[in-house]
Parts: sequence; structure tokens; C-alpha cells
Amino acid sequence: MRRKMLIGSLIIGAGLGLGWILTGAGELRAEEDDEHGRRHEREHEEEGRGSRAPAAGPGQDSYMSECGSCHVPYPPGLLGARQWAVIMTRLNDHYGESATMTPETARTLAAYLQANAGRDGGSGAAADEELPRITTSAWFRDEHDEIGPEVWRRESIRSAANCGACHGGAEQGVYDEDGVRIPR
Amino acid sequence: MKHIIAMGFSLIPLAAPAAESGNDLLARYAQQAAEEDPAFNGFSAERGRTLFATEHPHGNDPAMACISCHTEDPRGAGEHRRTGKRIKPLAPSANPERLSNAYKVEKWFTRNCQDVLQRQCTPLEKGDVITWLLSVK
Repeated sequence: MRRKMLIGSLIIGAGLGLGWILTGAGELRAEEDDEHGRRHEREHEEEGRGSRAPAAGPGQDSYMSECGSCHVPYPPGLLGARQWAVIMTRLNDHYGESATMTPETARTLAAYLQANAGRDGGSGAAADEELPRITTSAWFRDEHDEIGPEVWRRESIRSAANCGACHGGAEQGVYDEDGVRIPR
Repeated sequence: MKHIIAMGFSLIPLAAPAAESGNDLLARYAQQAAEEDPAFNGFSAERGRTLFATEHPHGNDPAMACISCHTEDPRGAGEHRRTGKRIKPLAPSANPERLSNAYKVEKWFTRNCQDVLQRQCTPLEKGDVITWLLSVK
């Protein structure tokens, strides 16, 4: 499994790396810390976050097209059931944008997210005041504690929500550290 | 019999989307435009192009326009300006998938008109933009 992920991320990484070289941008290899990475992988598995790719099943197509066309299809396990429910009730103001869809699609999607949600807690989700954010959760901050604020603001990254800027396999749900390349 | 078929389709709108063409969409929007305004006199690619490039300042987005993400050339790829996500070309001449699925077309007009214009687009505006996109070769 780990080998497959590694090969996948190498291929994607090679493609992206070529792109950056062609555009004249350098790249910075993230510090490797295998022990650190393994520890967090174990923790995530314990928290039900081991499987990162949006799971197959009814609703996956909707998830990839309704959500994944504007941003990386964040692994549904990274938010809890209650947090996804809050997001789904406020699609007309989805972090400042409209993410509306037909009621049928919304029902399909809500069921999919509930079925694949992780643990609630950590990030925002004060009921109906603030939309939950993966990026404010304790584990996300912990995983990215070596990334300074100026790195997030780079034009090549834009925001912490742009997983794919550094995680070459984000679209496929691959987030292991071997695939990380931080663009300048 | 017709009713049964229609019901069947309404139950699986996503599983079996009927492939459509830009002209099918135009015919539907023309019908709606005529219902809204009996003086409706056809769509205009030029009006569509202008609408697409017009800035609609609001809130903390002083230059919000369709081209903010889609760029002025619908044959090229755009980029979501907040998430950085690549947006495939809008012109069917560059991306044949475009304007082939009425559900998606309506979804994006619904979302994006709200974000850019802070209201829904009229059938006339939708038809104008589609006419322009179809005209770009």
C-alpha cells in the first residue's frame, strides 16, 4: 500500500517537478522525518483518518464534481459528521461563495459525507456561527507546524486550503510526506 | 407512456444525463427569455463577451468579474483565484465537454452569477454568454 502510494506520488511529483522546472520556479524538498510521519499516520488511523481518498460508493461522483471542481476533494474523514452537516446546511454561503446544488444532489452528498465522516471536534463548528475548517484543527496545525505564515501566502500556494500546491497526490487522496514538494 | 418515461428521468437526473448541445441550451434559454420579455430579439455574442468581462465590485472584491477566474480567453484554462484549482476552458471549441450537460451549465450559472453579480442571471444573459462561447473558435 505504502509502496503504491509512493510510486503514485513519485509519478505525480515528477510531473509537477518538471512543470516547476519549466516555469523557472525552484522547489524545496520538505524535510524528511520518517518517524514523525509514521507516528502521525498511526494517529490518523486510530482516529479513522487512515483512508484519505474520497471513498467509493453512492455519492462519490457527486462529491468529486460538486465539491472537487472548485477545490481539492478534501478527504471526507478529515471532518466529523456534525461538521459536514453544518457545511451542508449553508451551501449558499460556502466560505464566502455559493456552492448551491439541487436538493436531490445535496441529499445524496449529505448521506455520502455522513457515511464517510471522521471524528467531530477540533476545528470550529460552533453550530451555526462559524463553518468548520480542516486547517484550524489541532492535528492539521501539528502536521504543518514547520510551515511559516509567509510560505502559506506564496503566490504558488495562496492558502492552506490549497493542499495540491504541495501534496502532489492530493487529488487522489495521497498525502504522505514522501510526496510533499513545497513550491517557491 | 410519455409520463412514465419523464418520471423515470426525473428520478435519475445524474445517472443518465442526456447529452446536449449548446444549441439545445440556447433554444431553451430563448424560450425563457421570450417568456420574460415579449420583445426578446435573439442573443448577442458581443453582449455575452461584455458581460463576461465586466467588473462587479462588491465587498472586499473590488474587481470581481467572470474573467477573474476564467480569464478573457475562453479557449484557455482558468484558475480559481482563492483555491488555485485549475478550471478547464469554457469554449466548446477548446473543450468539447462544455455546454454538453444542462445540469452542469445551470449549476455553474446559479453559483457563479450569485458570486459575481450577487443575483441570478437572466435567461437573456445566459443565452448571450453561451452564444459568445459557441462563437469562439
